[in-house]
Amino acid sequence: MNPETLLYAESHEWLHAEDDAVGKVATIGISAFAIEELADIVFINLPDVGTEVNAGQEFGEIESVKAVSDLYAPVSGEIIEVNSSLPDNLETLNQSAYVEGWMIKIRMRDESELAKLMDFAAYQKQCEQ
Amino acid sequence: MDARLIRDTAADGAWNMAMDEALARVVGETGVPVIRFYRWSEPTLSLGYFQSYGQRQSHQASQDCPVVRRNSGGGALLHHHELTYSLAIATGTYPREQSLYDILHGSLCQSLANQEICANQWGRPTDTTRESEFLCFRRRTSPDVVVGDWKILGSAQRKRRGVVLQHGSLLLATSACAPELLGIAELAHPLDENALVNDWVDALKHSLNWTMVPSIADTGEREMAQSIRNDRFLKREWTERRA
Repeated sequence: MNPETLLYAESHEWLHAEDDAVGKVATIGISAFAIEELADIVFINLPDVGTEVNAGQEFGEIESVKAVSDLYAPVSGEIIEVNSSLPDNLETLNQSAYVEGWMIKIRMRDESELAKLMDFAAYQKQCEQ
Repeated sequence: MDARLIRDTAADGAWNMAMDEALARVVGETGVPVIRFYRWSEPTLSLGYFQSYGQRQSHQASQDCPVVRRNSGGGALLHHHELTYSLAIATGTYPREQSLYDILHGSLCQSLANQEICANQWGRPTDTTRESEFLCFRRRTSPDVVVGDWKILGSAQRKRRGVVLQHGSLLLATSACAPELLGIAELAHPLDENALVNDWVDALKHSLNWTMVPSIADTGEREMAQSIRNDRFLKREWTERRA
Protein backbone atom coordinates (compact mmCIF):
# COMPACT_ATOMS: atom_id res chain seq x y z
CA MET A 1 0.00 0.00 0.00
CA ASN A 2 1.21 3.47 -0.83
CA PRO A 3 1.40 5.56 2.38
CA GLU A 4 0.50 8.67 0.38
CA THR A 5 -2.96 7.28 -0.42
CA LEU A 6 -3.84 6.23 3.14
CA LEU A 7 -5.79 8.02 5.85
CA TYR A 8 -4.33 8.65 9.31
CA ALA A 9 -5.49 9.14 12.90
CA GLU A 10 -3.81 11.59 15.27
CA SER A 11 -2.68 8.58 17.29
CA HIS A 12 -0.62 7.38 14.26
CA GLU A 13 -2.78 4.53 12.96
CA TRP A 14 -3.12 4.35 9.18
CA LEU A 15 -6.26 3.17 7.44
CA HIS A 16 -7.04 1.86 3.96
CA ALA A 17 -10.74 1.54 3.13
CA GLU A 18 -12.14 -0.60 0.35
CA ASP A 19 -15.53 -2.00 -0.61
CA ASP A 20 -16.44 -5.64 -0.55
CA ALA A 21 -19.76 -7.33 -1.29
CA VAL A 22 -21.25 -6.28 2.06
CA GLY A 23 -19.87 -2.82 2.69
CA LYS A 24 -16.70 -0.96 3.58
CA VAL A 25 -13.74 -2.72 5.15
CA ALA A 26 -10.91 -0.75 6.78
CA THR A 27 -7.42 -2.24 7.00
CA ILE A 28 -5.47 -0.69 9.87
CA GLY A 29 -1.84 -0.53 10.98
CA ILE A 30 0.52 2.01 12.50
CA SER A 31 2.70 4.41 10.54
CA ALA A 32 6.39 4.04 9.85
CA PHE A 33 6.89 7.29 11.79
CA ALA A 34 5.25 5.76 14.88
CA ILE A 35 7.28 2.57 14.52
CA GLU A 36 10.50 4.56 14.34
CA GLU A 37 9.50 6.62 17.39
CA LEU A 38 8.72 3.46 19.37
CA ALA A 39 12.18 2.07 18.55
CA ASP A 40 12.69 -1.59 19.45
CA ILE A 41 9.27 -3.21 19.58
CA VAL A 42 9.18 -6.25 21.84
CA PHE A 43 5.52 -7.20 22.17
CA ILE A 44 2.13 -6.61 20.58
CA ASN A 45 -1.28 -7.62 21.79
CA LEU A 46 -4.07 -7.74 19.20
CA PRO A 47 -7.80 -8.37 19.72
CA ASP A 48 -9.92 -11.37 18.79
CA VAL A 49 -11.91 -11.54 15.57
CA GLY A 50 -15.51 -10.58 16.30
CA THR A 51 -14.64 -7.79 18.76
CA GLU A 52 -16.73 -4.64 18.32
CA VAL A 53 -14.87 -1.32 18.60
CA ASN A 54 -15.87 2.31 18.50
CA ALA A 55 -13.78 5.01 16.88
CA GLY A 56 -11.13 6.15 19.36
CA GLN A 57 -11.36 2.99 21.46
CA GLU A 58 -8.30 0.89 22.27
CA PHE A 59 -8.03 -2.27 20.18
CA GLY A 60 -4.60 -3.45 21.29
CA GLU A 61 -1.30 -2.59 22.93
CA ILE A 62 2.27 -2.40 21.79
CA GLU A 63 5.41 -2.53 23.92
CA SER A 64 8.79 -1.21 22.92
CA VAL A 65 11.90 -0.78 25.02
CA LYS A 66 10.64 2.77 25.55
CA ALA A 67 6.98 2.39 26.48
CA VAL A 68 3.73 0.48 26.47
CA SER A 69 1.28 2.32 24.21
CA ASP A 70 -2.34 1.74 23.33
CA LEU A 71 -3.50 1.20 19.75
CA TYR A 72 -6.73 3.01 18.85
CA ALA A 73 -9.39 2.11 16.32
CA PRO A 74 -9.75 5.01 13.85
CA VAL A 75 -13.28 3.88 12.93
CA SER A 76 -16.16 1.93 14.48
CA GLY A 77 -17.24 -1.57 13.54
CA GLU A 78 -16.55 -5.27 13.93
CA ILE A 79 -13.05 -6.68 13.72
CA ILE A 80 -13.33 -9.30 11.00
CA GLU A 81 -9.67 -10.21 10.55
CA VAL A 82 -6.50 -10.01 12.65
CA ASN A 83 -2.91 -10.34 11.43
CA SER A 84 -2.21 -13.25 13.75
CA SER A 85 1.33 -13.78 12.47
CA LEU A 86 2.41 -10.28 13.52
CA PRO A 87 3.04 -10.91 17.26
CA ASP A 88 5.58 -13.62 16.36
CA ASN A 89 7.16 -11.61 13.54
CA LEU A 90 7.55 -8.12 14.95
CA GLU A 91 10.35 -7.27 12.53
CA THR A 92 7.62 -7.10 9.88
CA LEU A 93 6.56 -3.76 11.33
CA ASN A 94 9.94 -2.24 10.51
CA GLN A 95 10.23 -3.96 7.16
CA SER A 96 6.74 -3.40 5.80
CA ALA A 97 4.63 -1.07 7.93
CA TYR A 98 2.00 -0.50 5.23
CA VAL A 99 1.64 -3.95 3.70
CA GLU A 100 2.72 -7.00 5.73
CA GLY A 101 2.52 -4.97 8.96
CA TRP A 102 -1.25 -4.49 8.89
CA MET A 103 -2.90 -5.30 12.21
CA ILE A 104 -6.68 -5.59 11.91
CA LYS A 105 -9.55 -5.28 9.44
CA ILE A 106 -12.76 -3.62 10.57
CA ARG A 107 -16.13 -3.90 8.88
CA MET A 108 -17.14 -0.28 9.20
CA ARG A 109 -20.43 0.80 10.75
CA ASP A 110 -20.27 4.45 9.72
CA GLU A 111 -18.47 5.54 6.55
CA SER A 112 -18.77 9.19 7.55
CA GLU A 113 -16.04 8.59 10.16
CA LEU A 114 -13.48 8.51 7.35
CA ALA A 115 -13.95 12.25 6.89
CA LYS A 116 -12.54 12.84 10.39
CA LEU A 117 -9.18 11.30 9.50
CA MET A 118 -6.14 13.06 8.02
CA ASP A 119 -4.75 12.64 4.56
CA PHE A 120 -1.02 12.01 4.07
CA ALA A 121 -0.10 15.70 3.80
CA ALA A 122 -1.93 16.62 7.00
CA TYR A 123 -0.39 13.67 8.82
CA GLN A 124 3.08 14.60 7.62
CA LYS A 125 2.50 18.07 9.01
CA GLN A 126 1.48 16.62 12.37
CA CYS A 127 4.65 14.52 12.48
CA GLU A 128 6.82 17.55 11.79
CA GLN A 129 5.33 19.58 14.65
CA MET B 1 4.64 26.25 33.10
CA ASP B 2 3.52 25.21 36.57
CA ALA B 3 4.00 21.60 37.60
CA ARG B 4 2.82 19.87 40.77
CA LEU B 5 5.47 18.38 43.02
CA ILE B 6 4.28 15.68 45.40
CA ARG B 7 6.64 14.21 47.99
CA ASP B 8 4.62 11.26 49.16
CA THR B 9 4.81 8.87 52.06
CA ALA B 10 5.57 5.16 51.74
CA ALA B 11 2.68 2.94 50.64
CA ASP B 12 2.05 -0.57 49.38
CA GLY B 13 2.58 -1.55 45.76
CA ALA B 14 -1.05 -1.52 44.69
CA TRP B 15 -1.55 1.96 46.13
CA ASN B 16 1.62 3.31 44.54
CA MET B 17 0.67 2.03 41.10
CA ALA B 18 -2.92 3.20 41.51
CA MET B 19 -1.85 6.70 42.56
CA ASP B 20 0.45 6.98 39.52
CA GLU B 21 -2.46 5.97 37.29
CA ALA B 22 -4.90 8.36 39.03
CA LEU B 23 -2.50 11.28 38.61
CA ALA B 24 -1.99 10.40 34.94
CA ARG B 25 -5.75 10.53 34.42
CA VAL B 26 -5.91 13.91 36.15
CA VAL B 27 -3.13 15.22 33.90
CA GLY B 28 -5.26 14.13 30.94
CA GLU B 29 -7.93 16.55 32.13
CA THR B 30 -5.87 19.44 33.48
CA GLY B 31 -2.70 19.35 31.36
CA VAL B 32 -0.69 20.27 34.49
CA PRO B 33 2.30 17.91 34.86
CA VAL B 34 2.75 16.07 38.16
CA ILE B 35 6.01 14.72 39.51
CA ARG B 36 5.79 12.48 42.55
CA PHE B 37 8.50 10.96 44.74
CA TYR B 38 7.59 8.01 46.89
CA ARG B 39 8.76 4.92 48.76
CA TRP B 40 7.39 1.42 49.37
CA SER B 41 6.11 0.29 52.75
CA GLU B 42 7.43 -3.26 52.32
CA PRO B 43 9.75 -5.00 49.85
CA THR B 44 7.60 -5.54 46.77
CA LEU B 45 8.14 -7.17 43.42
CA SER B 46 6.60 -5.36 40.45
CA LEU B 47 6.19 -7.07 37.10
CA GLY B 48 6.28 -5.30 33.74
CA TYR B 49 2.94 -5.04 31.96
CA PHE B 50 3.66 -7.92 29.57
CA GLN B 51 5.76 -10.12 31.84
CA SER B 52 4.57 -13.61 32.69
CA TYR B 53 3.52 -14.06 36.30
CA GLY B 54 5.13 -17.48 36.35
CA GLN B 55 8.54 -15.96 35.65
CA ARG B 56 8.74 -14.80 39.25
CA GLN B 57 9.40 -18.43 40.19
CA SER B 58 12.83 -17.99 38.65
CA HIS B 59 13.77 -15.38 41.25
CA GLN B 60 14.15 -17.16 44.57
CA ALA B 61 15.13 -14.21 46.74
CA SER B 62 11.83 -12.38 46.18
CA GLN B 63 9.51 -15.39 46.59
CA ASP B 64 8.03 -14.10 49.84
CA CYS B 65 7.47 -10.55 48.61
CA PRO B 66 4.05 -9.27 47.57
CA VAL B 67 3.75 -8.73 43.85
CA VAL B 68 2.03 -6.05 41.78
CA ARG B 69 1.79 -5.73 38.01
CA ARG B 70 2.65 -2.31 36.59
CA ASN B 71 0.93 -0.47 33.76
CA SER B 72 4.34 0.17 32.25
CA GLY B 73 6.58 -2.19 30.37
CA GLY B 74 10.04 -3.57 30.98
CA GLY B 75 11.40 -6.07 33.45
CA ALA B 76 10.62 -6.84 37.08
CA LEU B 77 11.73 -4.56 39.90
CA LEU B 78 12.31 -5.34 43.52
CA HIS B 79 11.28 -2.18 45.34
CA HIS B 80 12.93 -2.00 48.74
CA HIS B 81 15.79 0.39 49.45
CA GLU B 82 14.92 2.74 46.64
CA LEU B 83 13.57 6.14 45.79
CA THR B 84 10.82 6.02 43.19
CA TYR B 85 9.66 8.88 41.01
CA SER B 86 6.75 9.21 38.66
CA LEU B 87 6.07 11.91 36.12
CA ALA B 88 2.73 12.30 34.40
CA ILE B 89 2.79 14.77 31.54
CA ALA B 90 0.68 15.55 28.49
CA THR B 91 2.40 14.78 25.20
CA GLY B 92 3.45 17.91 23.39
CA THR B 93 4.23 19.83 26.57
CA TYR B 94 7.91 18.95 26.76
CA PRO B 95 10.78 19.45 24.31
CA ARG B 96 10.52 16.92 21.47
CA GLU B 97 14.20 17.03 20.71
CA GLN B 98 14.96 15.33 24.03
CA SER B 99 13.31 12.22 25.42
CA LEU B 100 11.72 12.27 28.87
CA TYR B 101 14.17 9.54 29.81
CA ASP B 102 17.12 11.75 28.98
CA ILE B 103 15.59 14.73 30.79
CA LEU B 104 14.92 12.80 34.01
CA HIS B 105 18.02 10.66 33.90
CA GLY B 106 20.39 13.42 32.82
CA SER B 107 19.20 15.68 35.64
CA LEU B 108 19.63 12.84 38.13
CA CYS B 109 23.25 12.36 37.04
CA GLN B 110 23.90 16.07 37.70
CA SER B 111 22.32 15.77 41.14
CA LEU B 112 24.33 12.68 42.03
CA ALA B 113 27.49 14.52 41.00
CA ASN B 114 26.69 17.10 43.70
CA GLN B 115 27.14 14.26 46.18
CA GLU B 116 30.34 13.13 44.50
CA ILE B 117 28.79 10.11 42.87
CA CYS B 118 29.90 9.56 39.31
CA ALA B 119 26.91 8.25 37.37
CA ASN B 120 26.10 8.50 33.71
CA GLN B 121 23.64 7.21 31.15
CA TRP B 122 24.62 3.92 29.61
CA GLY B 123 24.42 5.52 26.17
CA ARG B 124 24.72 2.41 24.02
CA PRO B 125 22.05 0.62 21.98
CA THR B 126 19.79 -1.84 23.78
CA ASP B 127 21.76 -4.91 24.83
CA THR B 128 19.64 -7.57 23.14
CA THR B 129 21.50 -10.37 24.91
CA ARG B 130 19.95 -9.16 28.18
CA GLU B 131 16.44 -8.45 26.86
CA SER B 132 14.93 -11.54 28.45
CA GLU B 133 16.46 -11.00 31.91
CA PHE B 134 13.74 -11.14 34.56
CA LEU B 135 14.96 -8.13 36.52
CA CYS B 136 14.92 -4.68 34.93
CA PHE B 137 18.22 -3.89 36.62
CA ARG B 138 19.91 -6.74 34.73
CA ARG B 139 18.82 -5.29 31.37
CA ARG B 140 20.47 -2.38 29.57
CA THR B 141 18.96 0.28 27.36
CA SER B 142 20.58 3.51 26.28
CA PRO B 143 19.01 5.92 28.83
CA ASP B 144 19.68 3.72 31.90
CA VAL B 145 21.79 5.37 34.59
CA VAL B 146 24.83 3.37 35.64
CA VAL B 147 27.68 3.63 38.11
CA GLY B 148 30.47 1.78 36.39
CA ASP B 149 28.63 -1.14 34.81
CA TRP B 150 25.96 -1.31 37.54
CA LYS B 151 22.53 0.02 36.69
CA ILE B 152 21.17 2.23 39.46
CA LEU B 153 18.16 3.85 37.76
CA GLY B 154 15.70 2.27 35.37
CA SER B 155 12.48 3.84 34.12
CA ALA B 156 9.49 2.74 32.09
CA GLN B 157 6.57 4.47 30.41
CA ARG B 158 2.91 4.01 29.73
CA LYS B 159 1.35 6.20 27.05
CA ARG B 160 -2.41 6.57 27.05
CA ARG B 161 -4.76 9.15 25.60
CA GLY B 162 -2.23 11.90 25.17
CA VAL B 163 -0.53 11.41 28.54
CA VAL B 164 2.83 9.84 29.26
CA LEU B 165 3.32 8.24 32.64
CA GLN B 166 6.98 7.61 33.32
CA HIS B 167 8.13 6.09 36.55
CA GLY B 168 11.53 4.93 37.66
CA SER B 169 13.45 3.40 40.53
CA LEU B 170 16.70 4.66 41.97
CA LEU B 171 18.47 1.83 43.74
CA LEU B 172 19.78 3.27 47.00
CA ALA B 173 21.13 0.06 48.54
CA THR B 174 21.12 -3.68 48.08
CA SER B 175 18.09 -5.61 49.28
CA ALA B 176 18.17 -9.12 50.71
CA CYS B 177 15.28 -9.76 48.32
CA ALA B 178 17.52 -9.06 45.30
CA PRO B 179 21.08 -9.54 46.58
CA GLU B 180 22.56 -9.76 43.10
CA LEU B 181 22.00 -6.01 42.60
CA LEU B 182 24.20 -3.33 44.09
CA GLY B 183 22.88 0.07 45.08
CA ILE B 184 24.50 3.46 45.47
CA ALA B 185 25.45 2.75 49.08
CA GLU B 186 27.56 -0.22 47.99
CA LEU B 187 28.92 1.34 44.81
CA ALA B 188 29.80 4.73 46.33
CA HIS B 189 28.40 5.84 49.68
CA PRO B 190 24.97 6.37 51.26
CA LEU B 191 23.05 9.31 49.83
CA ASP B 192 21.57 12.33 51.49
CA GLU B 193 18.21 11.52 49.98
CA ASN B 194 16.51 14.77 50.86
CA ALA B 195 19.31 16.81 49.29
CA LEU B 196 19.22 14.60 46.23
CA VAL B 197 15.51 15.15 45.66
CA ASN B 198 15.95 18.92 46.13
CA ASP B 199 18.82 19.01 43.63
CA TRP B 200 16.97 16.76 41.17
CA VAL B 201 13.88 18.95 41.29
CA ASP B 202 16.03 22.06 40.80
CA ALA B 203 17.76 20.51 37.78
CA LEU B 204 14.39 19.53 36.30
CA LYS B 205 13.03 23.04 36.83
CA HIS B 206 15.86 24.42 34.76
CA SER B 207 15.81 21.87 31.97
CA LEU B 208 12.02 22.03 31.56
CA ASN B 209 11.56 25.69 32.48
CA TRP B 210 8.93 24.72 35.04
CA THR B 211 7.80 26.24 38.31
CA MET B 212 7.39 23.43 40.82
CA VAL B 213 4.38 23.92 43.05
CA PRO B 214 4.44 21.75 46.21
CA SER B 215 1.26 19.73 46.26
CA ILE B 216 -0.51 16.74 47.73
CA ALA B 217 -3.01 14.36 46.19
CA ASP B 218 -6.41 15.83 46.98
CA THR B 219 -9.44 13.91 48.22
CA GLY B 220 -10.78 13.28 44.72
CA GLU B 221 -7.43 11.95 43.53
CA ARG B 222 -7.11 9.71 46.57
CA GLU B 223 -10.60 8.34 46.03
CA MET B 224 -9.78 7.68 42.39
CA ALA B 225 -6.54 5.93 43.41
CA GLN B 226 -8.44 3.84 45.95
CA SER B 227 -10.90 2.76 43.31
CA ILE B 228 -8.15 1.88 40.81
CA ARG B 229 -6.28 0.02 43.56
CA ASN B 230 -9.31 -2.10 44.39
CA ASP B 231 -10.52 -2.66 40.84
CA ARG B 232 -7.19 -3.36 39.20
CA PHE B 233 -3.97 -3.56 41.14
CA LEU B 234 -5.28 -5.72 43.99
CA LYS B 235 -7.08 -8.07 41.62
CA ARG B 236 -5.57 -11.45 40.97
CA GLU B 237 -6.90 -11.33 37.39
CA TRP B 238 -4.75 -8.27 36.81
CA THR B 239 -1.63 -9.51 38.56
CA GLU B 240 -1.74 -12.89 36.87
CA ARG B 241 -3.19 -11.71 33.57
CA ARG B 242 -0.27 -13.27 31.75
CA ALA B 243 0.38 -16.60 33.36
